[in-house]
Amino acid sequence: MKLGPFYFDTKEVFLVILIAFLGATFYFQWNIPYFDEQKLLLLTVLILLIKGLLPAIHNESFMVFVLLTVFMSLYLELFPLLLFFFIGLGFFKLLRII
Amino acid sequence: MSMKKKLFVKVMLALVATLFTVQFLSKSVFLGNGPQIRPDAGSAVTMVLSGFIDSVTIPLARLFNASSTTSADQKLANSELKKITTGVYAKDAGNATYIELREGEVVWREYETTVDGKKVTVKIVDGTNAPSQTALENFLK
Repeated sequence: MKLGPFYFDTKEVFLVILIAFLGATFYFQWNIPYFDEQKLLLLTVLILLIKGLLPAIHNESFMVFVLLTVFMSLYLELFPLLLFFFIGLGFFKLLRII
Repeated sequence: MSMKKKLFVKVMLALVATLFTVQFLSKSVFLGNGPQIRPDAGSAVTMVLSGFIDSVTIPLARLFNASSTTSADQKLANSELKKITTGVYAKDAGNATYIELREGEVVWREYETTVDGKKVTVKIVDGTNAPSQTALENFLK
């Protein structure tokens, strides 16, 4: 999909929709069952940052990692979750997955 | 192994390693799920690492020396209970001791004493020595 000078592939369009949805939950103060919105917001920022820096070839591995991180946000506090995200990226780089 | 399978194994390996590392760091290095580093982080890390090394080396040592040495538990299991006094039995295996208290058989003896100006009733197994005054004071602190 072409929006002005930018080209978005399907995954990115879904990601943008998801972020807009997350924004709406904050704006309308909806509750996402079981999940902590603050953790999700922080994860979204980090995921966008890393997604912006990673080449598209690593999308699949990164998606698996992101899904597990979002799931782990149910069990981990904010700081261990950040540790999980950064250490996980470190291991992915170390094992040449990304 | 195909590229896809290889990638899957690597991803799983990375995720498991991440989980263990996060558990280890948040328990041994950081304080209370926050970014503060524990003041005793060094010794905590050493303790966890030595525990890990022990958990690997001790079973291996047992595996290779199973015939020549027996564990304290096995030695205890093989030795016989000796009667200390009525209702109290014990067995000893060098570095381990097992004490069995058969409550139904025990004959209790009660005596009154004063600890820190207060009258207390002490119940001991009949036939054993009464604890010292200092030991009683420490116990009742």
